[in-house]
Amino acid sequence: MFRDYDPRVKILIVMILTGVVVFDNNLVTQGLIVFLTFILAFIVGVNVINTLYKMRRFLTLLFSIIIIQSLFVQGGHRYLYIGAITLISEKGITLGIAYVFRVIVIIMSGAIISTSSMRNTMQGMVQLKLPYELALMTSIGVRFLPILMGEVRNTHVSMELRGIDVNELHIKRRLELIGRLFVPIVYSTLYRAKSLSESIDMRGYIIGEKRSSYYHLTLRKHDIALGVIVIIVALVILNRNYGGFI
Amino acid sequence: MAFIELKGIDYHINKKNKKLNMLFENLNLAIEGNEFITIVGANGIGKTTLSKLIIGVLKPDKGQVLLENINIEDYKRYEIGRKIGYLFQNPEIQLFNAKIYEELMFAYEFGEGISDEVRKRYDTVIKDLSLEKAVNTPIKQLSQGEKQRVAIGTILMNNPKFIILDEPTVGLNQELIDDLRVILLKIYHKGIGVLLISHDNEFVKSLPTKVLTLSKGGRISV
Repeated sequence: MFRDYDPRVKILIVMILTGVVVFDNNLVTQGLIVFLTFILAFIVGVNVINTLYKMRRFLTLLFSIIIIQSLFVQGGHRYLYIGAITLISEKGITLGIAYVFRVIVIIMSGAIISTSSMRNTMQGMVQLKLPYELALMTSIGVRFLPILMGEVRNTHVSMELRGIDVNELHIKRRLELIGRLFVPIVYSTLYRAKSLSESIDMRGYIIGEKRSSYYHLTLRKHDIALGVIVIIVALVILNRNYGGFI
Repeated sequence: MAFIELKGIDYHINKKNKKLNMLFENLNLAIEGNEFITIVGANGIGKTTLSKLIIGVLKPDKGQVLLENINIEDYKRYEIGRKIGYLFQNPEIQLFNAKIYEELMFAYEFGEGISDEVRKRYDTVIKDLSLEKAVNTPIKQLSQGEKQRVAIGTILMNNPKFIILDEPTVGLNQELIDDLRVILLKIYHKGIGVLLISHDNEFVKSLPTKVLTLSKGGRISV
């Protein structure tokens, strides 16, 4: 069960899960997709509990989105209202929950992809005949994200070490302070992107050139089995919503 | 009582596989407030990590970092910044403003306000760092050495008791290294303690500093 699955199967899983959860508006279908996402994530080796624990920081944001959706989208039964003003409605809550389901599936999809090494994922994308530039951009993005995050952290730390008590500041001043941080962060990001593009040019990289590779991924029985199961389950879930095609 | 004290520090790079990623094991170090200390060591041995443990940016897995005999974790980051200045390897990341005046006054603009005393300190810092000619030039157009001096200036504006410099000679030519030497000596002679992290042996030899060598596992030898 807990084998090392082929990155192409993981890409397929992620495409199906995100595709269905984004385009389907039925809450029950989306709930089933979320459930399926957790099971598949577990099967490919994601530490689901740990990932959910990391997501706890976004809980306030997710609940706020449900409430805001409910305030602006109204319809159906009114659960909470002041006179003529509806605060929480059936349609608003439904849309809010659907949004949260989509966010959960997208985050877990990232976790599923990250269980393969970047080299394997890139090779999988190439063998799937996806544009090489897409694989290259993904690879560069993943490779440099930790470096950029490190620089953002250092900038934040250096601002705090200036001796400014951020908590004492009025919200307006605090926002102004955060705005100032963007200057060095954007500057260093652009500088790094420029250096990187120069370095790629120096290595003779040309867009569209065919590349060969000694490294080759081979689909094994358990990869095919998982891929087929996911497709069948996704079709069954869609069938109960749209009906008639199975 | 030492100004900074590290007691029985264990630190692992990867918390999941501690046996393979142990950087420091039972590291002990005491630094007086008026000392000039340099830590040297091979690349990747943990010099920058050690300096980040001292300012509380990284937390040890075991042991304590004490600043004026109080656990560093009991301080707020801004309180540490008022006692210890930290110069990052890349000074660009600690410059947020367009002009030198705005940059040096940044902490006061968002803090206690700009008083006459602060303005006087600004004049002194500009003079000490030989930045008089650069004050009207946008920071982005300054040379690497000038940017580094501005970053040091932002630290000195806080009137710290101690400063830490992480590899300050990286990317500087000999002339700029000589300028940096003069600045460091000025700072030290004003009674501010200095902890220099460097692997530039020539630069270190030219300074009146106590040299500590950091070795594998966090062993420190004089």
